[in-house]
Amino acid sequence: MTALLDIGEFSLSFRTASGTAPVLERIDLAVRPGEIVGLVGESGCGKTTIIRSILGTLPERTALIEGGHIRVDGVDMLGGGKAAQSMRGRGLTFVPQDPFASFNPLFRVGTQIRDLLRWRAAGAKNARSGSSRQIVEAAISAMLDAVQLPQSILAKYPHELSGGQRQRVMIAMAMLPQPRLIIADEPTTALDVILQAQILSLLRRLAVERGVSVLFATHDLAAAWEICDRIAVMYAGQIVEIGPREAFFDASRHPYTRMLLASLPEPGRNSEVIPGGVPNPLKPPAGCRFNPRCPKVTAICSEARPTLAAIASDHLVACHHPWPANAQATHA
Amino acid sequence: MLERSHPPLLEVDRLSRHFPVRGFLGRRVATLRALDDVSFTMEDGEVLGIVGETGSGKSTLGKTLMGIHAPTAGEVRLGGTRIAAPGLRRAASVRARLQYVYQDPGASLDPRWTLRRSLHEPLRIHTNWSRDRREAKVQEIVAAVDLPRTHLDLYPHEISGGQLRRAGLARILVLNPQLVILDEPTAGLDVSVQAAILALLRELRREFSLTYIVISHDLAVVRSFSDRVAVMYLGRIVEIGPTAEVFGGPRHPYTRSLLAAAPRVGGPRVTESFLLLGEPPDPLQLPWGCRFRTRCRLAMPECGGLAVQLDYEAGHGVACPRWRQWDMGHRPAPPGSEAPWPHR
Repeated sequence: MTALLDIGEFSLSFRTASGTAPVLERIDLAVRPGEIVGLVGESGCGKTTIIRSILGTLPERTALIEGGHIRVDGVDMLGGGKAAQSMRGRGLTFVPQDPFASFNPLFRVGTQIRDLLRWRAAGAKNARSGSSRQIVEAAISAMLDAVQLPQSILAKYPHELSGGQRQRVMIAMAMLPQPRLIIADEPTTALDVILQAQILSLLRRLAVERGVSVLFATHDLAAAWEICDRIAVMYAGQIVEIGPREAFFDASRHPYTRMLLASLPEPGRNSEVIPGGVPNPLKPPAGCRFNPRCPKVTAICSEARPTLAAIASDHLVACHHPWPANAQATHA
Repeated sequence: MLERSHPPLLEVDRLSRHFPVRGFLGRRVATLRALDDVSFTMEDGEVLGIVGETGSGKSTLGKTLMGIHAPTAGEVRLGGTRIAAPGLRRAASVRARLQYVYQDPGASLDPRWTLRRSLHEPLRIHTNWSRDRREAKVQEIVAAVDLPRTHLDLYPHEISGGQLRRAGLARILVLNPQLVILDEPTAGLDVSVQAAILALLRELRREFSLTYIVISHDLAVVRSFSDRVAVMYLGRIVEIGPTAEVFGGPRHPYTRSLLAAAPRVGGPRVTESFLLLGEPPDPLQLPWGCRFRTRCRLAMPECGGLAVQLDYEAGHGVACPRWRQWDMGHRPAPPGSEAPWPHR
């Protein structure tokens, strides 16, 4: 099956006052149609930079694309052509972390949803005639039911909505143009447990029902476990492991993934600390960027960057010394 | 309760804190009952976790204990002495025994002061020690939080974020507090950094025999860190008990929903069987009686009329008259047969 989102060998640097920071190094990631893929990693590992590259919202002056490609449904997203522009907002939509910052506070929610549909809905060009306007209204009303919001929400201003309601409206707005891929950047970080469960279940249900793919970036491993089909782990601008959800948590192979899982608080044991700190983005370690903190490090780790290779069906690891599938040890 | 020779470290007795909501010309138009009739006790050396959603009153409780807010009603006793009650001014000696740690303790350091000056300051205010004696104490604490001694002459911007956090904790510890209130100690941190902070807090607790109140919305952190846990909903404690009991056998319908909503790595998908709908009601127009009854599947008309009190059974308190009914014919509805969305 061809991938809907196809990122290959993608490298990106940021120019800063004190030099060039290679923030993404040879990223390979694919999202297949109808699949929910989690992109997990700690803050600063490059999740948001990947998302901004796909969305075309990188800071133009400082971002430097070093190579590779990003394609959504076969359309090149890096060149900045017309096809990429019309893909964004139609075939590809975005659910932000902070929904409040994405609304215009001066307009009613209904106005903002209708504006979106006027420009971005499938067949939106004709939406000025009476009958297609009715179709738009019907679509909005059906979508509000789907995200379990009352119709009266359309007459409200963004500040009158609670955090959970705002995120529901955001999901509705991401779904309305009938996209093939939704990118969600930490959509539940600002929410409580119960709201998080409600929003995640909504996102998963709608995506599965409509066959929409989701790229779900989060630093919350439990949230990724909750809704994803496959999970990709990033560390300092490199993808270290991609695997199906079950294999990922039960039989992860990369030392970083194992240590990340061991650092989760669990009843009955104290969470374990990963020694050392995240590398300086201006001078990342050569080879595998995790090598200074890795318990299995050898000479080759700082000489050659391990390539992402299949270790089981659908399970890719970038490591010279991956753990065997059944090893329980997390720290050597 | 057994007869005891000495009072518990902390006694919170029917503590309330209400905030007036003012409208036109400062007229009081409503009252926000951020904390309403909360009672519990804590023993020396215990770790009590306080969990609840945003707006449940967790931070108001912490700040009222701390003396940042004056209580509207009720009182707080520390080692038997009254430290907070309406109209009571807190003595300086009490303030040193109780410390509050904000989400990022490093942010409470003055950027224009060296760490040494920041660490000396609380001792200058609370003691009349000589400079040398203060310096000895500061050195001792700095070693305990694992900060190099040479860092004392640096300014906050010159050290890393993790060290800044340690320095912030050191500033709190120089006064030898008994009770430390940690407000969201891990919010917004990555799991690996979170693990390091929790390990440090555990170590400090052992070394300085501290008592912690941990306020957090992260259930996993509270579960792994506390001895006892209190669950708050809209300004009231709905359930309190030993951590293993509350997490292992939750009684209050709200606690059950809260625990059912938290995804666990390796567990089943909670979103496939998740039950609780809706959001908390408007805090200015709280329902009478039990505040959870508008979202509760056990709710009966009488839940609105009762003054629901915590009912203790072997140290495990629950504020619900009907929790025993949960397993009797009130099986959760299968997914799909959801109740209609409550329109607001």
